[in-house]
Formats: sequence, structure tokens, C-alpha cells
Amino acid sequence: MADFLPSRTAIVCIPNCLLSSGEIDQIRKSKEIDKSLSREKTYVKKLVKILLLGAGESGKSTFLKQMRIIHGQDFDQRAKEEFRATIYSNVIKGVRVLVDAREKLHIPWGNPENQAHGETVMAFDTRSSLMAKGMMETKVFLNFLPAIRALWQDSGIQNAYDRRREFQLGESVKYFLDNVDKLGQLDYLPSQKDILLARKPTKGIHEYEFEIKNVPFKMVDVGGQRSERKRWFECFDSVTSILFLVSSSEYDQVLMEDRQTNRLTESLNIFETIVNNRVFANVSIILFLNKTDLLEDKVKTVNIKDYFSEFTGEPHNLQDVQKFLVECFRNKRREQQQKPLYHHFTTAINTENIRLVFRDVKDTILHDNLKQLMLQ
Amino acid sequence: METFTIQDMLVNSTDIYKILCGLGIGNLSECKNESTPSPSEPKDMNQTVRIVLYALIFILSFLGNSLIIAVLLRNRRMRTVTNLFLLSLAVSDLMLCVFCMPFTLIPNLMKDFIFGSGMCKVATYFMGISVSVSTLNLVAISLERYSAICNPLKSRAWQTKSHAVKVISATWVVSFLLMLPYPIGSTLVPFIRSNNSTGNMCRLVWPSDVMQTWYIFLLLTLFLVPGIIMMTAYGLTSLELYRGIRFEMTNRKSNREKEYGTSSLKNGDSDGCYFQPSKKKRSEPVMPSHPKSKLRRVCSNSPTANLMAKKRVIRMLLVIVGLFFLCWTPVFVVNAWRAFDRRSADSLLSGAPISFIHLLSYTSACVNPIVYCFMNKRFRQGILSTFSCCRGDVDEFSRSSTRRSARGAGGLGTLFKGAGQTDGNTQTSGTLTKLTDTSVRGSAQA
Repeated sequence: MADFLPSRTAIVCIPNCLLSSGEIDQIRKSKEIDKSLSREKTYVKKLVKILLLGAGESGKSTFLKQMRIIHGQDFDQRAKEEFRATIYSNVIKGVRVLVDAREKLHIPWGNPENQAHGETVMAFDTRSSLMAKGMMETKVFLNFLPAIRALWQDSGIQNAYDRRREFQLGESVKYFLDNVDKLGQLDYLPSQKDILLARKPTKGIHEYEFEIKNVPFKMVDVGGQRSERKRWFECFDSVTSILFLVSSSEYDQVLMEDRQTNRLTESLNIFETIVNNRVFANVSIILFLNKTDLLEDKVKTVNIKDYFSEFTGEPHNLQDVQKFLVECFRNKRREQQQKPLYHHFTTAINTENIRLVFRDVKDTILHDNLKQLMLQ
Repeated sequence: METFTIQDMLVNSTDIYKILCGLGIGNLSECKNESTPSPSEPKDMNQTVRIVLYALIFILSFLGNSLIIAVLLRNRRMRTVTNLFLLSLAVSDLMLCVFCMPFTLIPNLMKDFIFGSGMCKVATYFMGISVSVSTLNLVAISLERYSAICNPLKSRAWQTKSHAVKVISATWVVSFLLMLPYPIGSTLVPFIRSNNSTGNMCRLVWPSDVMQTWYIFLLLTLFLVPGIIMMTAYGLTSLELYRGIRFEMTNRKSNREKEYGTSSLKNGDSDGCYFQPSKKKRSEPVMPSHPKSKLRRVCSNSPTANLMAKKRVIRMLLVIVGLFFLCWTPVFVVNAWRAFDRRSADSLLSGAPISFIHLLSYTSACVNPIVYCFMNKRFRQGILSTFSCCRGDVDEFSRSSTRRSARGAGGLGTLFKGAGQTDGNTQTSGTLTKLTDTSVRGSAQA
């Protein structure tokens, strides 16, 4: 019993011993957490948050992929393998669409022997668990490779492709079919261009962060299909600008969703909803009229007056059509809106896109600051 | 011998007050009157003019700065980062108004600092503090504006309320420390007045070389360095805004050229102009019969409002710098002159010239509220919303507002005519009317 007394005395006389190593460790961790919170706070103040909006297939995700390639970390091996599966899925679906369209449009086979190949492709089960995710295994794709190659060389399929406006066909299908032999190599991995052109409808909300000139940017990508639009309003907190993408070349096409509504009209209606929403009263709008290269080609052959009778001017003059498009979007805004509207004709894979966005965002914040500084 | 010593001491110590207040005028007048008495009528006229001008500047400064303080304290929504600086500026200008003008004019008229030795130390101390804080506030505001406009993305990280509080606290602490020589060295100095009675003047008493060093130090610290910083900051800011304007003008021209061009647009990303909403509301995009002329007009009109805003900002920044130098250059130049050649300075400047020079420095406390606050549209709206509850009392004070408006407009008009800025004069007169009108409501509220 007497042996315990000296120990107690020692504890009382040396208060430092009361701090166990665990407690010291906790204090150190607490300080580290405080520092981390402080850094995070500074980062959040600097952060420029941009919301990517637009109808389906307007190029939002392609734009983001390009941003990621140029300003973020490149895609790793695993991501590339996933894109490969996506590309295989794009190809098989595209070929099936073409075969089906050839039949429904009553286009004769260039080579009647390709009937068998067509039946092979149509027999493929698109409801497998992997295809439901928009992906296809390499092994399965290689089984269909000969049929795909033969079909794409058939003049009947080519005729159907030329009439692709009359049905729903992804834009990048031609690119992949033209390079189908490359896709068929056993060691094939998608190039950057392949990744950019791979098409997979965006579901849910995706955020990407990268830095430009020491300024952190966060791009929020949301799906453009009608079923995905109710999510748009979940992303509105503290947005600096909205980047609204439009497929400028699709004035002669209809929606995938209902196959009746003109795609450009759909974009205009969405834009009207966004731009006149009170939630966005203090947010600037950057309008990207995307796929301007396709617009340049289409203007030469398709008369926009056939679809928008209010168009006046030369229908085959690119500048007249461009002015008309900008005017259509600008007129959707009501007079109460005070935030500037920036617009650019571009393509999603243009390497200058981020420079345009950066300049517009900087200008937006500069004007906010002019008001804040009691100067305006 | 004793009389000569007192006279010499008075002459030696008159210089310090010139940097802040015009107390020395009376003393110099007394000296001249002793040697060569002048007719009483011109003297009375001189005093009357001085009293009127001092009273006018005092009233305008007091009302303007009090109104700003009241609005910013009552209206929580207006407590932004910039408004914290403006609040600090208004407080320092109010101090400058309250401590400099009465403690300058009254002893001057009565030929005696009647407030006592203790008040002599306190008054000179707060005079120095108010001038220092006011100047440092102007510098801080210019640097904030420079960062926000020239580096808008990066400045967002650190331009916060806590940062503003730190900067403002620093300006006040530095000013309190910087002006400590005044309560330490200020004292009442007796002198003989014209009627052979004894009067006292409040003076900072130091050896001659120490005084010279002090003057040069204040000249650099409170005028030259601040002036250069403000000029640089606002100059770079104006340059940035001008670049934006020129870019938009170039873009507009480019669009106009494209309109007539026949070649197709190869690089779509070169088109980068931005639009303001159309003034005409149209339910559907119906194009007019002359699309080209319409488009050209719309395109050229869209950025105009924005360009005008930027030009207005540039003009205002130039006015701010111009006013700073206009108000403070004379008094600092005179003090530097006196520090090294008192005799010629005194002989040339005594009387009306020195009065006007000092009045110019006090005018800064009067024009700061106008230039920094009342010329801003959003601030005026804030004032109206803050005092909207007093609308029912407007009729009761209509006569007072009319009278004061007339007087105030006249006064400032005179000042700005001297500056030779017609536009500023017009704008200021308009603003002043609102200021006076709102001041009445403010008084009613108080």
C-alpha cells in the first residue's frame, strides 16, 4: 500500500506528465485541421464557378473533356479503357441505326450479300448489362468487326448516312467508322481526339476543377436531356457565370427525345427559361454557339428559311445566319436583365475556348467590382 | 529685451500651425497693425468674408459627413467592404471639420485661445489625427480600387471585411502614434495684443531645426507620398478601363467590317463582343425589313451604355486625384516655403492669401462626401431607402431645404469655377441639391 504514494506525488508535482502522447497528437492534428480550413477558405474565395448548361448533344461534356486535357491532368489508362468501351458502343449503335434507316427509307443494298451482315448486327443484344451503361467489351466488338467494315463500305449504307438528318445519328459515328481498322487493333487505346469524340449522354452532375493563370476554376457539367434538367437548379449556389452551349448547326434537326421539336427551337426555349430566371439575375451568360465548323458546311446546302421563316437575308451567307442566331438568343432576354451577355462562335474542341471564358469571367467580375467600389 | 524675446518666439512658432490650421493669420495681422495701423473698415470686411466662408465649409462638411455616418450605421445592407472605408473617411473628415475650423477661427477672431492649455494639446492632437486618417483612408481606397479593377480575379481572395477592418485600424493607430508630438509639444504662448492686453496662442514649440525636420516629414508623409500613390493607382486603373474601352471599340469596328465583308468567317472564336439587352422588347424574333442597318445600330448601341459607364469612371478618378492636389498642394507648399525662408513667405502671403490657402485644405472634408458618396447612384438610393420613413415630414422642411440648397449650390459653384471643371460643377450642383434636401430629412430624423 505504501508503494503507491510516491507515484501519486510524482504525478501531482509534474503537471506535464498529465498530457499523454495521444493528447499531444490530438493538439497537433487540431492545428493542422485549422490550417487546412484556412487554406480552403482562401481557395473558395478565389474559386470561379461556371455552370455548363444546354440541350442534349450541345457539346457540354466535349467542352469539359477538352478543358481537362489542356488544363487538368490527362486521362489515365483506366479512363482510356473505359472510353474504348464507349467508342465500341457508339460504333455498334451507329451501324445499327444506319442499317435500320436503310430499311425504313427503302434504300436498296449496294451489295445484296451485305443483307446477312446487317442481320448479324441487328441481332446484337443491346440490353446486356454492359451495353446499358453505353459500353461494349473488346472481345464482343471484334466479333462484329468484319460485318461493320463490310456494311460501312456498302453504297446503300452510305446513302442512308447522307440522309442522316431524317433520323437520329451521332455526329462522331462517321469518324469512328472511317477509322474502324484502328479500333480493331488488339492494343488499341483511344487518342485524345478519340476521347473528345466519344459520345456518352451525361447523367447526374459532374464537377471538374483546374487552374488558369493561378485562378481556380470549377466547371459543373449537368445532363442536357429533358429528364436531366430538373437537376440544374441544384447547382446554382454562388455561380459566377453560366456557359450556355448551343449546337449552331442543328437548325434542321429534331430532338432525340420526341423526334418532333426543332433542336434550335428547344435550345431557345431552354435559354429563355434560364436567362429570365431571377436566380440568375446576378449571373453573366456566356453563349457558345458550338459546332461552327458544321454550321459553315450546312449553310451552303440547307436553307434556314425552311425552318425559321422569320429569317431575312442570304440563307447561304454564313454571317447572315450567324447574326440571325445571335439575335434569336438575345431577343429571349427581357429588358430587366442587367448582366452582360457574351457570345462566341466556336467548336467544343477549340483550344482557345478557355481564353474566351477566362476573359468574359474576368470582365464580369470587373464590372461587379466597379459597382462594389461605388464607382458606377 | 523681454518684449523682443516674446515677439521673436511668436514669429518662430507661427509656422507649425500653417500645416493644419490658419491660426497664424491673426498673429501676423496683429504685428502689422502694431507697426502700421490700417483703416477699420477693410479689416471688418476681411473678417466678415472669412467668417462666412468658414461657416459655409463647416456646415457643408458637418452635414455631409454626418449624413454618411448615419446612413452607413443605420442601413445594414450598405455595410460593404468599400463602405467601411467610406465610413472611416467620413469620421475623420468630421473630426477635421469639428477640430480644425472652430479652434482656428475663434481664437483668430478673439485674438486669444480661450479654451485653455489642456484643450490646446487635445485640439492640436485631434487636428493632426483627422488630417492623417483622412489622407491614409484616401490612399487605402485608391489601392483597393486598383486591385479590384486591374486584378479582379485575384483580389477576391483577400478583399474582405476583416481585411478592411485591419487596414482601417492600422490607419487610425498609425495616425494616433504619428501625431504624438502635438500633445507633447503644444502649449499656450502669451503675446501682446494691439490694445496692450495679453492674449495666448496655441503653438507647437520646438527648436528651429527640429521644426524644419518635422515640416518636411509631414510634407512627405501626408502629401507627397500619398499623392504619388493615389496618382499611380488611379492612373493604372484608368489605363485598364481605357484598354477595355478601346478593345470594345475595336471589336465594334471589326463587326461593322464583317457586316459588309463577303468572305466567310473562318475562325468563329474571334467573335467576342458582348451585348446588353435590347431596349425594345420583342416577343418573337421578327427581323425588320432592313436587317443590316438594324443590326449595325443594335450592335453599336449595345456596348455604348457600358462604354459610357467606364468613361464616367475614368473621369471621376481624374477628378478625385485633381481635388486631392488642389486642396492640399497650397498649404504644404507654403509650409515648406516657410520652413526655409520664413521672411519672404510671411511678407507675401499674410492676410487674404493664407486664409484662402487654409480654407482650401478644409474644403477637402467638404468635397470628399460628395465625390466618394453622393455622386454614386447606389449610395443615393441607399440614403433614400434609409430615410424613407421621413417622407411625411418633407412639406414641413420645404422652405429650409430651398434656402439651403440655393446657398450651398452657390458656394460650391464658386469653388469649382476656380477649378475650371464645368462638367464637375454641373454634376456637383445637382448632387448638392439632393444632399441638402436629404440633409434636412437627416436632421429631422436626428
